[in-house]
Amino acid sequence: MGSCSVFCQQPDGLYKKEFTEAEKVKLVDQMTNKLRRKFGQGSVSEIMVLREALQMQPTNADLWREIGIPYGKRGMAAEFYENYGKAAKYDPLNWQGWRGYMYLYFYRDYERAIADFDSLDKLTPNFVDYPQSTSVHFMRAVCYLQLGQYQKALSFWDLHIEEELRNSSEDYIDPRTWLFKGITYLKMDDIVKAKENIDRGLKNVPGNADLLLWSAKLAYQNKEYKKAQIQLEKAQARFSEGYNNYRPYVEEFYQMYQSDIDELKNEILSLE
Amino acid sequence: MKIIQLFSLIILLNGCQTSKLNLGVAKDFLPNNKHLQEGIVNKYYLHHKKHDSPDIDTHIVYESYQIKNDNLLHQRFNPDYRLTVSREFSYQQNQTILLNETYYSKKDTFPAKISKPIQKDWVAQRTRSENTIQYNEGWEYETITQQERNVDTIFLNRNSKLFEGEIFTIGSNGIDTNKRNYRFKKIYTQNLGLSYAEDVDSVQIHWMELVEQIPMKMFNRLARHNLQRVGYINPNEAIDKDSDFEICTEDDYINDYYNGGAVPIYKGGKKAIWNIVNQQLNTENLSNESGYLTFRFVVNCKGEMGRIITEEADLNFKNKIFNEATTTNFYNILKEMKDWIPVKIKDNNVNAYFYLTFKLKDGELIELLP
Repeated sequence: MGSCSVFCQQPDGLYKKEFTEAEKVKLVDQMTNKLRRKFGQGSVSEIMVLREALQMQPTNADLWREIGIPYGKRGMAAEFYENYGKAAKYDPLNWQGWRGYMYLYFYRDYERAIADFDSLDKLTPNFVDYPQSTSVHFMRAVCYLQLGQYQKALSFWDLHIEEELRNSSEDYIDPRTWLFKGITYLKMDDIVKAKENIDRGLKNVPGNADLLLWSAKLAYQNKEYKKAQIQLEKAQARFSEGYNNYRPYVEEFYQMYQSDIDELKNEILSLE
Repeated sequence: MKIIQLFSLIILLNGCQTSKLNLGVAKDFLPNNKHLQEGIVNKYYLHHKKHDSPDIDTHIVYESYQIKNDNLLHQRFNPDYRLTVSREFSYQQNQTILLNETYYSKKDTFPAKISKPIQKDWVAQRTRSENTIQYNEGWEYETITQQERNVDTIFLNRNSKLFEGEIFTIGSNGIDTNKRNYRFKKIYTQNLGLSYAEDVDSVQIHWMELVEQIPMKMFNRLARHNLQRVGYINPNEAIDKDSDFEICTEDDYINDYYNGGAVPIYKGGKKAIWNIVNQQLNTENLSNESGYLTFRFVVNCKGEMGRIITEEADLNFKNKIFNEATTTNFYNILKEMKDWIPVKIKDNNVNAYFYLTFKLKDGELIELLP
């Protein structure tokens, strides 16, 4: 069976299927469905399928987010910024809040995070967004706390609490709210209000190791050494059981460590 | 002139490739001879849906055809262009005969034992093939393919051949058994080869549609993409490439630090890292630097750290290069840190990629990340 070079006229035309715009929309959705689970996030196969999908919809924000997120998780800041930035650019309503979350927790870039949350607020007036299941009020409060703008932080703690109480009861509010609000007051040297919030947190979540530790710290500061010791022992017990604040991927703000418990314990012991 | 004509004829005859492969009836439903000689790759979208769900997931599969040693080599590739299956066929009396079949994972090769090799009959309605593959951990899969009918049809406005039948697979490791049987449909189309395939069982359906044909040369070029998973570190490009660091060889796959769940990556957490950094950092080396100086590295199953590289960006997330004194200072601090906690997955310590970012602003270290 010979090939045809000169004498045969077989066409060289190769097949290529053309998809309608409606079909492309469906295909892109199908390509991203279970993609991470099938090939692994950030794998070469995942990247290839995402690139295929991007050829059909170059401004699909979900695709850019999928491309950008493994860079953010693996310490590659410039690539994260470029790719996730496109997600926020093409669909700010859905991805600007999530990018703000990344700026806050992964890069501790408080100004950029606030800018994203403020911008999202303008897109969704009279609605409180919860990107990554975290309130934009809560996250702005953390940002302002870290920037040393305590009054602004307090205003956002209050907005967050007000919003949470609109939809549920106080015992459902994340204990970090009370902890961070208490720390905000402590930074303003208002020990009374700091204690008020730590106690309120403990009323709702009595077994939270972080709240117990800070309760111990405040008691110590107030020269209530017996109480400090009791709270510290409870904090140690709960910490040993894993009931402390933590986050996946990154350190939580004001995360507690065994050394924090040991340090306060030594200070209390030194008084005996 | 006669010499020129003779020379031209010789060139022409040499250019005509001949093969002893007689495709018979199949010739009308496979890629044309030129494409088979040079190699042609079909790109498919492979769809999957469970009957009890409206969701469809889709990805890419490539299958190549090329005549090699007077047989037809047919290979399948993943979206990352990695070879997953290789089959060699001969064609005799309008039958496709499977000569050999091999499955490839990232690390292993699994050749099939073929007991009944007639994969297809392009004229008769029925045929049957059987093969067995032994995988790792004692698993053996027997596959029986029963062609029940073939029918001439029109597909994509071209002459086509539809095959239908049933496939039975029985897998066993001596303790457990997996059985699956499903109906299949395959359509072979003039100049295209396999243009559509489908398999259905009681739980789900897979179907594959041809979306593009790619010349083999172009496919091979695409396959040499050099792309690696996000975060891959080339050991030859590591700052410490001449060190004794080794990953654990039992499983040379490298996870990421967060795959083991939310646990501290260093003994004592970030507080301990701050203590080390504060003791050892020479702030005079920081100049007026600002940005994210990230060290990425591997922590092996023993908690040893190595394969270090840097990622360097300014505070606006643009790539930059930190001055050498700054990078060296932090690198030296990193090298002295010995209490990394290996990632644990299913109670086993594994290799994992970690990172530590020193965030600087105007010559001051303001954050350690993550």
